[in-house]
Amino acid sequence: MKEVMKTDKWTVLAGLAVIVITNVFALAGVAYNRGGEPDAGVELSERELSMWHAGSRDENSGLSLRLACRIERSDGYGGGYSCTGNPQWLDQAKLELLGINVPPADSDRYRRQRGMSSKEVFLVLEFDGEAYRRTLQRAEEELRIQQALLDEGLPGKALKVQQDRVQAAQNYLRDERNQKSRLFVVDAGLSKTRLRALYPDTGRYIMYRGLVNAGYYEGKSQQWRGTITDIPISHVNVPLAHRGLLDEFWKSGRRSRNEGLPRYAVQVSFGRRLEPWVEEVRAL
Amino acid sequence: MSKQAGSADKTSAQRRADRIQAFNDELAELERRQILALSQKQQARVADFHRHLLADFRDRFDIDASHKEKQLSWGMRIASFLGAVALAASVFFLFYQFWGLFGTTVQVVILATASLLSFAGVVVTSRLDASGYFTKLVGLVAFACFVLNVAMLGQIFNITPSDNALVVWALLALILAYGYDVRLLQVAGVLCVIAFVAARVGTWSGLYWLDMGNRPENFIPVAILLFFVPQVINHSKFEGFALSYRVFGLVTLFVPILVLGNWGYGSYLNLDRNVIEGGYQLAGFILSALVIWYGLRRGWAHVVNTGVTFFVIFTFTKFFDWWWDLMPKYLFFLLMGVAAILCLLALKRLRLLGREAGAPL
Repeated sequence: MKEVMKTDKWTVLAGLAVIVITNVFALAGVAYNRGGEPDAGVELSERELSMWHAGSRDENSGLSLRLACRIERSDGYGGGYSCTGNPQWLDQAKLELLGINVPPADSDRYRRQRGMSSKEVFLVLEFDGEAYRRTLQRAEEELRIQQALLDEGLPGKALKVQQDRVQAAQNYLRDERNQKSRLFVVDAGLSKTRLRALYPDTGRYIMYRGLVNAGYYEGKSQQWRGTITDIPISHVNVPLAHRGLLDEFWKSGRRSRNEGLPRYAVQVSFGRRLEPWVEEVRAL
Repeated sequence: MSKQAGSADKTSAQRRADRIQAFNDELAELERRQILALSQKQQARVADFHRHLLADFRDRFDIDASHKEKQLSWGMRIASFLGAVALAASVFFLFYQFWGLFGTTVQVVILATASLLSFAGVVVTSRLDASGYFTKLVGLVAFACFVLNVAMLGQIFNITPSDNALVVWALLALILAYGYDVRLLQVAGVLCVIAFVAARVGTWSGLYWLDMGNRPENFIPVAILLFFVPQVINHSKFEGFALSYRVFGLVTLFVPILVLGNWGYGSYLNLDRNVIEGGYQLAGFILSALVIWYGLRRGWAHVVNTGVTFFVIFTFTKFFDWWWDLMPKYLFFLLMGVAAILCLLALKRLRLLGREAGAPL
């Protein structure tokens, strides 16, 4: 009986220890992340942080904001949504700097394409910077080109087609100005300290964890290119204290295409472990 | 009395009750055939002895003393499992329904308290429940509360996902499993261990931890580890635990081999794809045959059955590779049928060999 009670006592102690220590460690990690000076602090709008409920609103009362960021494609347009895609700067040289060693281009197809897996790296997210300006300029240029073609005068069906193209270019420019995210992934590296030294403006550049993969493209230019495949933290939880305004907006529905303008701004801080939290929400 | 020590006696008591039942059945058959007949005095003494023994076992360990009770026990096990799964799901959905209405501090307190209280519930239930079914139910709920605890902390504070969560989940599952003899939690713990070790092996070779499945070889080290756990740690007091380790170890070994036998791209080996696939297919046949031999030698029916299952799967997969495109479908399935018959004959032979082995688990 004494042996039995002793065994039971150890089971209870071990179980309690696991539960308590796990919670303490988790909260200590949160305190470490949020302690000291944040690594970055940026005010993002609804364009970069859209409201999101997992499952139906009735089943899940929590609210989070989905991070929307883009990559600059080789054609000058901004692509992707959740920071994923093939940015033009993520070429073979960059992949090798990230420690992703790719087989030689002259090796057989099998060797080139066998099971490339993602690697966790640090991404640099630029807010309302040069990458966004170039994308905006590209959209303005596209509208100018299409408008010029329309102004030349076209016969019959071709005129209607060109009018549609001009309309599409106008919509695209409007979306770039009002709706689409101004947050772009502009660089990647293995050391966040070195990246921060390269991008010291903590109000514009955010260091963030992401996953990068490599793929071989056998199109016009045969080459290895990198893909940002995922970001582990794609949603930012909104604590109850900051939900009032957002709940009102959620009830009123999504911002319509005709209005298009963002309704709120969120001050987000990124801590020592690059994990984000909401500091403040205000109406725009 | 704690479940752990009680279970050791419960196992022996259940075996004794099964032997008594078998003895009574055989004695009745022998009497019917007039081969053996005990005198009335002998019958009365044996029946009286068994009656007192079984009554004592029922009181102390809640064993199944008859075929009918065994069938009902199976029903109770299923009901207990389904009840546990339903309650665990209810805990998850309950929290998701209401968590957004609370501030962060309250959320954290609720999560930690739910874990602690449900664990306390297991301790209390185990002391009142001799059968173990209610303990299993509450144990699963406690595990679910802890999983929710860790997962929701991650969501509330936007913590970077990590494989460390698998370690703590495995720890609690195994503590509950061994402390209160809940085999289902042992399985949950083993699954967490498999995922964690595979993830770590993957990260050591430069993979992101969630991509562990991209390289099935990540699972092979933990498979070998699991299979030999019962050899290193005595599990005679825990009915079925050794079986779970061995079966999960073998499944975790053979599934990657099966995958790599058809998908050489996923291997770490820097060789031609066809060489990799051929090599793993051959390894699959050899290893499954070795497992069958080893299981027969040790008298482990579950090991033999797992080996046979995968040997058959490897064989049929090879047949598919060779013949599916070469012949009409009716002929292919006819050949499958013939192969199945040959397997049956081989298994019949193995069963004869298995009867001669018969070492305890």
